[in-house]
Amino acid sequence: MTKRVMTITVAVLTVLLLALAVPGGAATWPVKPIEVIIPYAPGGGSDVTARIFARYMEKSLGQPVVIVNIEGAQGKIGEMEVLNARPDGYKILWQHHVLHCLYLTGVTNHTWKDFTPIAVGGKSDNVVIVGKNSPWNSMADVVRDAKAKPEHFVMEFAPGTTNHFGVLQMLSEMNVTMNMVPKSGDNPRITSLLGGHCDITAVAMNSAMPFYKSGDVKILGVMSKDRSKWLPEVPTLMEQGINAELLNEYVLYAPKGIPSDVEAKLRSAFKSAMTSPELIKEYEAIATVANFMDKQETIDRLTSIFNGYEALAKQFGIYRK
Amino acid sequence: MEVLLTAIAHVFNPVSLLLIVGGVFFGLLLGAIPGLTATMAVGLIIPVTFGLAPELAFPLLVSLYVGGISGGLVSASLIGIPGTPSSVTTVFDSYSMTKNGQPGRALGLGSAASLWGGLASAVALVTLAPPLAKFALRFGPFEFTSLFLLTFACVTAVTGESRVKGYLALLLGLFLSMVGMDPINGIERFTLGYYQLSAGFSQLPALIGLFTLSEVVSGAKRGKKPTIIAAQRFSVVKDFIETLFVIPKYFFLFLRTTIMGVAIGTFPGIGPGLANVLCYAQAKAGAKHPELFGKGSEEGIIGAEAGNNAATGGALIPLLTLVLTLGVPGDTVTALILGAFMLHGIQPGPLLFRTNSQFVTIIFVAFFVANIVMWLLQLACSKIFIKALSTPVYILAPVILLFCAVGSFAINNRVFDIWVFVLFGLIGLAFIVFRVPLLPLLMGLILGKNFEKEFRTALIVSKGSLAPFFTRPISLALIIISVLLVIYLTRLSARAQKTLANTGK
Repeated sequence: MTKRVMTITVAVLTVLLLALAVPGGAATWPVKPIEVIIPYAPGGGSDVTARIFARYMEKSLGQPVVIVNIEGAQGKIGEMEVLNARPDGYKILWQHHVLHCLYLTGVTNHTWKDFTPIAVGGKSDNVVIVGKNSPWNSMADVVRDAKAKPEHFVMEFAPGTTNHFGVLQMLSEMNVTMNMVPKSGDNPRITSLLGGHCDITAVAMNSAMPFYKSGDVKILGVMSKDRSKWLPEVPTLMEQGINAELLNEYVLYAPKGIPSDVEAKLRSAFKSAMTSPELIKEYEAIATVANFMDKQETIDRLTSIFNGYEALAKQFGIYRK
Repeated sequence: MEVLLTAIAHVFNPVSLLLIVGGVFFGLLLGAIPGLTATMAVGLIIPVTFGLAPELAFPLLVSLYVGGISGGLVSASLIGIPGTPSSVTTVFDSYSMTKNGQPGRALGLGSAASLWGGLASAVALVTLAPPLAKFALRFGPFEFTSLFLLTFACVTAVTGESRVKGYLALLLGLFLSMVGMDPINGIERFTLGYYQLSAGFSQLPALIGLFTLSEVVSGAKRGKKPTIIAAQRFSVVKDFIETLFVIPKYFFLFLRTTIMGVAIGTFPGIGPGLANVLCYAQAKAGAKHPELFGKGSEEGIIGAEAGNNAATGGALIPLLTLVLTLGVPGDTVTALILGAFMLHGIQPGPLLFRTNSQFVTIIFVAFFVANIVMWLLQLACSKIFIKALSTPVYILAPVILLFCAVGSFAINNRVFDIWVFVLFGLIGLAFIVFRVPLLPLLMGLILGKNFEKEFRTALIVSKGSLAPFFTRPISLALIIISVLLVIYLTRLSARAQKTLANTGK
């Protein structure tokens, strides 16, 4: 009797084990937690935006969506982790357009085409800032002084990133030159500005906001097409006659070659997260716009951004391909 | 005053107190296990704090931080493995004292120094934060470069073995720090085709590798004998109470160290190892018995431990103060706590004090209480910790190695870092065999990238001129101090060697 019970138990366990071992068909996907790789340290814009949408995706997918921070080499290491991952949809990447910059400046050898782009997600603005004691109150002031003293004023920028590209574009549109000092990280650049070690820099609006509200920095311009909802009083660069733009726009990527139904499931879960009114409210609290784009729209967007950056890289001699 | 009283009421509410005790205990436990760190303790608990109100969540996180940093003392003192860069120099004297048969005293002294250092830095946090933060802002690339020079000068001076070997080790460390993307142009160097190396060697796996493998192997050589002769009867309570009041004996040493620790902790983005090394060096330079350093000196332990705990308060300054930075956290743990702020919907920044002074005061009070809880828990647990040392080496060593491997992985969720751990373990072994000091190598590796970044940035700002290093007052002062310190410490160790030779040792 006991022998029979044991046999049955063993058989049942074996079947269960097999069922778990064989990767579930797409019909059952997901059967285990999904990892979202953030190629940066916890606490930054990438991390915070991802932690918010992860909670909403969990609801529609019925599996935990786990945030894993793999930082290093300006995002390259995290990107590579997903690039080389098994294409089963359990490891995906949340990265902004620095992905193109890393490729164009020779840091990586993969483009967005080596991934399966799921969708463009949130975006936030960047601003040009100066210290509170700076004589400059508009971009026109900067142009006037910088023309008088070429290569004189210290401009800090984050080398090899979207920030680098945006700043180069801005200076070339202004037709001025400055002493370009590389410094990664918004907060180190703000610190530098407060300490008087740099004259002007560009950072994410979110990073600048507390210092703007406290009066420690002045914001000279928003680097987007339209004025920011959170800074209606500050004109854009374009309004001030400088045709330059710098956006932090996040994209969700999966490895190349994931099954098309898994791709579709990921996209619809991401869409329902991004379009939920509660998420939109949470994003607004951190000055981020939840701008979900459909498949074709995403591909068009990535193509146009990539082509724009490629032209800039060639123009400024930082094209290393 | 009312704000302070409300804050005290908040912190002493039973739930909050329970969380602080639990937080310190968990931090202490993780900090005490080599390979697991304060960063990990905080990282593990942050998701748990989502469900808590910020008034409870942040005292918990601060307690984890205090516990984790102090826990490093346990493994440093008892098995000679620094759990974090901030307890590297603690090993020199604490572990020697343990090997001399006084583990209770080593732990007691370290805990007492941590307690006083932590409390003093809590006071500094409240009173000195704004002026210190303002001072730290005056540090630009020139000043930082000179500060790194000073640290390198100290590192080779405190090791006390062959100076030539010390410099060689430092140079090797600097070379290893160059692996990966260069900090200015983002061009990869010496990666041998491994993309995992494009950000260089991870610091923590390298650190625990250097110290652990060599220690485990030398432990294995001892065979079945336990690490220390725990046979003598000692009273942990007596040791702890006694050492608590040893500190006033070294009041000026303690004062100097604490001030230095707080000040260094204030500099944004500077490794905590720097505070530990600089404080240790100045303790040695001003000591009554510098020849005892590295052989179980009480002054050495106080210098190292008061310094690093003072730096924890210091590291919170950039996180919390009016003027300064936020987000250029003093170390990795404060970086995580910063992330937690954002996740709780609190915007850290210059406005935090004005808009949320009640909340900030609660954090201050919690920090204060956590330091006291830390000392009490060290007292309560050290008997168990010391007992664990009588575990046979053939059980203890594999367990330690396992934890270190797990810890190496968990830092950045990569298996590659376990190999980094093994590689640096082998380097550490080779260094021990050839009697080369490990500390300069470690400091070169940890600080090298920042040193290069600041130095090259300085040269870009000055358009290639070295003159500003000598014309800017803070930078000049730091350079003069490093030169004087090197001369002084060199003569000191020469004298110490002579004394030792004379006594026929």
